[in-house]
Amino acid sequence: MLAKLEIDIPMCQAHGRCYETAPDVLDADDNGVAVLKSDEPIDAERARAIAATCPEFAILVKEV
Amino acid sequence: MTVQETPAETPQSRGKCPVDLWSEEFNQNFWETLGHLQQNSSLGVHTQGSTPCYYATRYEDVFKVLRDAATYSSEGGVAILGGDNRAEPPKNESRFLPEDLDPPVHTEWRRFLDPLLTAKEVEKYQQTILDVTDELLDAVLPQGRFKVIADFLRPLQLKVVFREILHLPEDEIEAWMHWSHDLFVGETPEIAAAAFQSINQAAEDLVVKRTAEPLDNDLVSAICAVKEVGGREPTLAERTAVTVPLAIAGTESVGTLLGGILHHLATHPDDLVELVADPSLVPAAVEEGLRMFANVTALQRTVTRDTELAGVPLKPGDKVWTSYNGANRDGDRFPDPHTWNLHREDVRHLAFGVGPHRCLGSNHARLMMRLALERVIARMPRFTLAPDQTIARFSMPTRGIHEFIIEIPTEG
Ligand code: HEM
Ligand code: SF4
Repeated sequence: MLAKLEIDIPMCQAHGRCYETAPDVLDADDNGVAVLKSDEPIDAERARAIAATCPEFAILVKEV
Repeated sequence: MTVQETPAETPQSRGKCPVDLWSEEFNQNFWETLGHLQQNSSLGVHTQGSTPCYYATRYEDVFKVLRDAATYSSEGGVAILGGDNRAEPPKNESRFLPEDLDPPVHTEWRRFLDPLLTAKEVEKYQQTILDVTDELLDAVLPQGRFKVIADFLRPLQLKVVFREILHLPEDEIEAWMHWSHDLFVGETPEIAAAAFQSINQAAEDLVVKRTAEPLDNDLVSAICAVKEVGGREPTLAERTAVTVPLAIAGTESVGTLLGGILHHLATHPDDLVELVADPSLVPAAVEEGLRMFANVTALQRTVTRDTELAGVPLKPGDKVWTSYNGANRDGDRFPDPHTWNLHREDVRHLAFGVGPHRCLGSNHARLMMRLALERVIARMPRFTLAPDQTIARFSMPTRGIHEFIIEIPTEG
């Protein structure tokens, strides 16, 4: 099963846990706010695990 | 999985201020009182002078307040220190930075500070944490029993913060440890106030020193190097107000949390066996410990505009107090909230808060808790609470256990 991640930008507080955990999937912009490296879907389980690292609930998982 | 501190069905006394947070009654009936407030979806309210202070205890309400800094400002002061304050109107003073600031200036400070305490950055503290942990365990284990807070956790957290975060010279650490001790467990409010003065002064001296002679990879030097916040250069007082919380925020909380975990394991042998049998559960135990034994009972926000929380209309100037430990045991959010369970599906607790002010030191705190717990279960796979002791807790402004003694059974 595959899924796409989405960042709820106003909710992201740039704590950086997501891109520290998954630097292959996410990066930081100049302000530390998370950005997706690619629009390609990833494994749904991994997507959920990455979303769960965000203490702000700012990462949404959309199954495709 | 064992049940812990299940609230007894005690009828809440009616007609009284529902949240006399400073009373011994609240201390004794802590979870019952919070559970009662949560079930009624009510905000407990008391007044400071004539200003209402609403006490939010449900996960949903606490979450909402903490994420909405525009409606719930930190600039009227966040920390509730110094005992029962109901007789006087709120002081609205700012003491600690960046706690007592709102975005956008708050955000500017965090942009300087956050990169210094990322999960990757704090890994360099690993060896010191392990060394200090082992050094302390070496001293207490041969005794077969020891005081968990005084002989292990308090010196652990103080040494790590003073050595690694502040990089204080060895010969100054004793003095800082002494003030911290008095600040948190001083015999009288006067002793605690004097200790706070001393720490402030020492932090100011440190800022002056690091400005003149900065160290590499040093948090205080980085604070001294900040050129501009909010369109001007930070003052010496502001730099000091950023440094002080780094010295004190991590010197009660980590020990209190670990104390909660070790007390739980000492009194729930099945949970100890589970963890010892599978040390890969340590990170889960740290998260469950953060959820169940979160220390913060109340921090404050000031309402900036007419709004509504849990059906209660709020006015500008009203205070809202957020209960992090209450939110973490809200049954609507965490099934069986008083039960230790290392296999929960969602453990996104609020021990470190949420939103712009979410704990700056959380990565460091997690690392310390994880390493200390790993060493404890490796070096003392069995331990129990020593008999014949009374366990006393404190509840305001943080909740935890004052002290407890554990025993390590000899082989056989
Ligand atoms: C288990 C240990 C800890 C717990 C439970 C804890 C808890 C918290 C909580 C609940 C807040 C949010 C305050 C709010 O909502 O206004 C906070 C903020 C903060 N914590 Fe921690 N903390 C811990 C360890 C540490 C450590 C080790 C440090 C220092 C290295 C630290 C430094 C800070 C600072 C500077 C803030 C203020 C952040 C801001 O206002 O932007 N904490 N902490
Ligand atoms: S973990 Fe969440 S808050 Fe932190 S950077 Fe990633 S998306 Fe933003």
